[in-house]
Amino acid sequence: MKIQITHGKIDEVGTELESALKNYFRFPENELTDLIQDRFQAHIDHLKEDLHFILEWPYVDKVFRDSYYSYFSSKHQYSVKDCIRISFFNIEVNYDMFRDHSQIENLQAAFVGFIIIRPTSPFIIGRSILSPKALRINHFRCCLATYSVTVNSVKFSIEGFPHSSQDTETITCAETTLWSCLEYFSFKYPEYKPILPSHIINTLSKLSFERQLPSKGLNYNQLSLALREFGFGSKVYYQGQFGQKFPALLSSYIESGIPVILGLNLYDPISKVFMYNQSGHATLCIGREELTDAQIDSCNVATDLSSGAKVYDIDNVVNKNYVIIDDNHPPYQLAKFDEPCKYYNNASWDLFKVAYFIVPLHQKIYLELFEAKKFLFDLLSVSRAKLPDDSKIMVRFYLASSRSFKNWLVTESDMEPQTREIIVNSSMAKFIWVAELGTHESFKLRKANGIVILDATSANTSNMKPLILSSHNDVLINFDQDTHELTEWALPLGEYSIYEDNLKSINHGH
Amino acid sequence: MATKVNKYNEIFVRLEQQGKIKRLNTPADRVAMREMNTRTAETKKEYHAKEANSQIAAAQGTI
Repeated sequence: MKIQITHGKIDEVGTELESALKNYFRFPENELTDLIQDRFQAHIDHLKEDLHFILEWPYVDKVFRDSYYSYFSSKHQYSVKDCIRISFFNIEVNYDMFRDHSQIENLQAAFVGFIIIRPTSPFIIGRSILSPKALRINHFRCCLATYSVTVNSVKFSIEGFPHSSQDTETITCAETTLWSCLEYFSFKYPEYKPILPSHIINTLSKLSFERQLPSKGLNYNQLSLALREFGFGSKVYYQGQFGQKFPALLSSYIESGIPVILGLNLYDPISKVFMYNQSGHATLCIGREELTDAQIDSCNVATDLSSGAKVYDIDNVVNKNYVIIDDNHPPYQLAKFDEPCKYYNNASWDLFKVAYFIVPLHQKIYLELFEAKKFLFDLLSVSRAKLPDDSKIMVRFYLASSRSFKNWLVTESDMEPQTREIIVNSSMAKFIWVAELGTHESFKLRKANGIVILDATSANTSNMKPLILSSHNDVLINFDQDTHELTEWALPLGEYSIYEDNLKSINHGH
Repeated sequence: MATKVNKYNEIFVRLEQQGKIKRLNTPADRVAMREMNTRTAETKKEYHAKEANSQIAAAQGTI
C-alpha cells in the first residue's frame, strides 16, 4: 500500500475527508455527508479559520490498533485496521516544504496538532493532540504535555492534551477519560506508562462479574481502582460529603495542575439528590479560564478567624469556566462547575451535575487537601505571623512538586533574595502544599505578600508537623525538623509574583 | 580545595547575631501549640466523619 497525502485549506478538509472515507474506509456513499456534518464538522468549527491541513493515509494508530486486535478483528463485518491522520498548520503548507531543510523550523513553529479518523462509523473521531494555539477560543490555563508526531516523514513536537471520542464498543466515556488522563501523565512524567484500551480491560478483569466487551462503561469504583492499578494514589470526593466546600476542593486540585475526572450524574433539583440509577457521564477537567478582576472581586465568602481577621479563598470564585475534555465534543470545552455540560446546548444535559470527582494523586501525597486547607486556616488563626485583627487576606492554595517550585524560585521568582534562599535551602518532600497570601488587589496583579509551605507527606498534623515554613508581614516561622522547634525570624518577604507553572497558558508563556 | 556552602546557616547565624531569631518556646507559644493540636484533632474527626459518609459504594451506576 502506498502513502496518500492531501493538503489544502481548512475549509476544504470536510470535502477531502468525505472522499477519503469513501475511498479508503469504503464507507457507503449515502452515509458520508451526515458523518462529516454530524461527527466531524464541530471539530473543525472549533479551530481557527486560517489553518491548513495535511491528510495522510494509511496511518497506524496505536489506540485503534489495540481495539482492532482485541475486538474489531473478531467481528464478521470488519476489515479496515488503518486510520487517516489530519495534521494542522497555521501557515500554508505543501508537500515540497517537508523536503526543504530550510523550511523544517518554520513547519515546526506552525504545527498545531492532529486528529486521527477511525474506521468506526459513526464514531470516527479518534485520538487527537491539538495545541490551544489551534483554537478560536484559547484564553485559559491548562495541563499540557509535549508529544512527538511524524507528519509526512518529518518529526515534530506538539504541546497539547490528549483527546479521543468513544467508539461505544471497546471504549465508552469512562475508558476514554481514563486513557486521556494516563496518556497525559505518561508523556509528562517518566514514572507513568501510557495505556491502551485492552490494558484497562485486563486490569479490571478480575473485578468484573460480567463480560467486558462490548463495553457498557465503568462505575466510579472501577475508575478509581484502575487509576490505583496504574500507579496513582487516587482519591474520590463526593458532593454529599463536602457540600458547599465541594467546588473549592476541585478548584484547588485544578490549580495544582492535576487533571481531575469528573463523574456527572442526573441531579433532581426538587428532591436535591443524584439519580445514580440513571445514565452518567465522565469528563476530564484540566484547567480554568484566566480570572478577571471582576471574578476576583466576586470572591466575597470569608472565613472569620478567631483573631477577627477575614480570609478569602480564591478557590471560592464560583463563576469561572473550567477547561473540559469531553469525548462527545471537541477538546478544551469551557464550562462552569454548576453547569458542567452547558456546551451541549441541550436541555436534557443541563440536568447533569458533578456528583463525584476522582483525583489521580501521586502515591506519596499523604496529607489530603481538606485537612491541609483546614491546617492552613488553623495556622492563620493561632499564627504568630501577626495578622492584624481587621486584616482581609486572600489565599491561593495548591499542590506543587518541590523540585518545580524551587526551580521557579531560583530561575524566575522576584521574591526577596534572603527569604528565597531560606526556602530553597530547606529540605522538602517531593510534594508540598503551598498557600500564597495576598489581597484581592494584589491577586489582580498576580502578586502575593505571604507564603505558607506544608509537607504533603505529613499525614500526622499534630505539633505543627506539616509546617515547613510560613512567611508573612516580615515574620518567617520555621519548623526545624531536627529539633522539632519553631523559630521566628525577623525577615522581610515583600511582594512577589505568584507561582503559575502548574497550569500552562499559550498567552503568557508558561 | 572544595568549598562547603550552607546558605541556610549563614543567614540564620547572621540574623541570630542581630537578635532577629526567637525560639517559640514560651508558655504563650505552648498554649498556641496546644490550641493548634486541638484544632487539627477536630479536623481529623470531621474528615473521618466525611470519609465514613462517602457513599462511594452507593454509586454503582456506570458512566
